[in-house]
Amino acid sequence: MKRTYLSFLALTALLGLTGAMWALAGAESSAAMVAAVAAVKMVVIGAVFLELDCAWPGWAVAAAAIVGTVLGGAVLLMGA
Amino acid sequence: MLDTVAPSPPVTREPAVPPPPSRWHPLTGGTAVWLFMCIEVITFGMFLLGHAWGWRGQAAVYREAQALLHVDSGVRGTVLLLVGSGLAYQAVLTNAAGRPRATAGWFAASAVAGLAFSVNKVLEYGSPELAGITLSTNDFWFSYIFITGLHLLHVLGGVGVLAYLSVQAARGVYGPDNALNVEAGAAYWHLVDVAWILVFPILYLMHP
Repeated sequence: MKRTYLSFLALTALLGLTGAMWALAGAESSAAMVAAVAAVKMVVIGAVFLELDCAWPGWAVAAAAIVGTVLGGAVLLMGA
Repeated sequence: MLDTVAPSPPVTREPAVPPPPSRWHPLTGGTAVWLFMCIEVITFGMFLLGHAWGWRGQAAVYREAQALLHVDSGVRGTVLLLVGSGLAYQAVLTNAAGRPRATAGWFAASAVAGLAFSVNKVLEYGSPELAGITLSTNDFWFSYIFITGLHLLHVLGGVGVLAYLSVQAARGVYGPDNALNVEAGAAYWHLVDVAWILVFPILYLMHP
């Protein structure tokens, strides 16, 4: 049951962060802020993979590196 | 004269010592699906970085085009994919607990969420604001149609996978000792979710 509760907790956090991104975009916030919230979402997903799926941590680090590169790179390339 | 062979002493074996428990279990779904996931995220990432680069020099065109996008549709899609991932994860848990009918039900529910995402996306494509827009309208719309279309193909493929897993689970094919396909299918659905979590902010929300 602990895993079930954790998965619902993570899902709630992700939905909340989606709302936060929507609010930030509506408030004409900078791309960096939206990307920062998206990065937090990825941290939550990474935590789910680590704690719930028990995947090897190296994969979570690799995924974080890829996603961080894409999000950070997008901010830099946009000139935000 | 035959030599008598002395009987060899009995071989004494050390009792098998189980390996120490590892904190990290093998990759759920197998290594191949994780390699596939990494390659897919890199692919989406390259297209998205190309789109971000397009903002330079065409900021006015991109801003005008982005303003036409339905952010509420993107949020609905995000919610549907996140909920679908949660449902697929419940299927993995119930399969590990040896409850095939519950596994089938969770997978079917996850497939319905994916189908709802697809319907939502098709409605978005058909909205009056996007009427007449094609891949060649400008660079922004090329990125939007190509990337979201590629993602939609992944979603439709995932819906098929989830539906198949649901049917097979209902037949009792899977269980705690036969979980590889169940975990691989759920991992693929998580990939579709992760890719969308990159697509949504970069295409719909972020701008200089």
